[in-house]
Amino acid sequence: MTAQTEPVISLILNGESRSFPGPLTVERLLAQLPLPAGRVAVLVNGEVAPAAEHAARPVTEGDVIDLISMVGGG
Amino acid sequence: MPVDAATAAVDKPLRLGSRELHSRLIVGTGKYASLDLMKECLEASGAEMITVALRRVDLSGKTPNLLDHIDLSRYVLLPNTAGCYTREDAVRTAHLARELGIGEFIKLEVIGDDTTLLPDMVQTLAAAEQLAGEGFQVLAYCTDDPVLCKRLEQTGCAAVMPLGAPIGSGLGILNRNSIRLILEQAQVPILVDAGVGTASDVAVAMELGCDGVLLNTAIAGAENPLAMAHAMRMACEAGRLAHLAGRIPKRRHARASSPILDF
Repeated sequence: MTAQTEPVISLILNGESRSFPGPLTVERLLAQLPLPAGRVAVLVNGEVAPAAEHAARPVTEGDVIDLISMVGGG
Repeated sequence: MPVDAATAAVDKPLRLGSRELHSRLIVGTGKYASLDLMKECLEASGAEMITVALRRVDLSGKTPNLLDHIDLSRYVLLPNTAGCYTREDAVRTAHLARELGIGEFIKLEVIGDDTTLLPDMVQTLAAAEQLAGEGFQVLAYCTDDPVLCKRLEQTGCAAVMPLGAPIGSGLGILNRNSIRLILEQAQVPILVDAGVGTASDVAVAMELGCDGVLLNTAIAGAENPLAMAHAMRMACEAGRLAHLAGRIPKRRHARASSPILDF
C-alpha cells in the first residue's frame, strides 16, 4: 500500500503495534485514524502533547502514542 | 415538583468553585447497561454535575461514544482520576482532561489499595496541592479522617469528599461521627463520595449537614436504575430539607403528642 520511497514508522498506538507512512507528526497521525466525534487528548511516550503542538510535534520510530477521550465513570 | 419548590424556598445553591448547582446530587456515568439508560437516569437524578473517566479511544469504532448521549449544555462534567495510584498519574490525567476541554473541575482520586480501593492520602494531598496551584477546581475523594480533610481544604480544594464506605460497597455512611466532625470544621463544601447503597444513605448524609453526595454504582447497579435515580433525587432533597428544618432532639423517654386527658 505504501510507496516504496516512503519510510514506514512503527509505533505503539493505544497498546498495539502499528505502522504508518512517514514522516509523521501527531496531526498527520490523527488525520489517518477513525476517531470519535469530539476532542482527543494525546500522550506521546507518556507525556501530554498539547493540541497547539500537534502540527509540529514529530512522531518517530518506536514512539508510544496513547489517544485519550471520555468514557463513563464514577 | 412541590419538593423542589420547598427546597428552593429555604435553600441556597451549592457553590463549587465558580459554579452554582441547584442539585446537590452528583452522579457518575459508569456501569450502565446502555448509554440510553444512563441518559434517562441522569435526567431522573436531577443532577447538574456528572462524573466521567478518561481512557484510551476505541479505534475499532465499535464502542458507542459517551458524548453522543450527554447534553453538554445541561451538565457540568467532572472528570475523575480513577485508576491513578500516584500524584504523577493523577496530575497527568488532570492535564489530559484540560486537553479535552473539560479541565475546569477535577475529581481527584488516587487509589492506594486494589482490594479496598481506599485512597492513598499521601499521594492525594500532594496531587491536590499541585492541581489547586495550577488553577484546577479540585474535588478530592478522601478517607473520612477530619485531620486529613482539613489538610486537603488547606491545599485549596474546591470541595472535600470523604467516603461513606469503600467505593461500590453500598455500605452507607459507616462513621457518622467522623462526618459530623469533618462538617463542624469545614470551610469548603463537604460531599460524601462513595459507599452509598440506597436512598436512605443519601438522606443520612444530607441530614448530617453534608453539602452534597456523589454516587454512581448505587443507581447504575440497582435492579431498576431509573427508579433508583428518582429515589436518590428525592432522598437528597428530603435529607437537605430535614437538615435545614432542624430535627427534634433525641430523648430516651416518650413525650405524648396529644394534650393530657382533661375530661
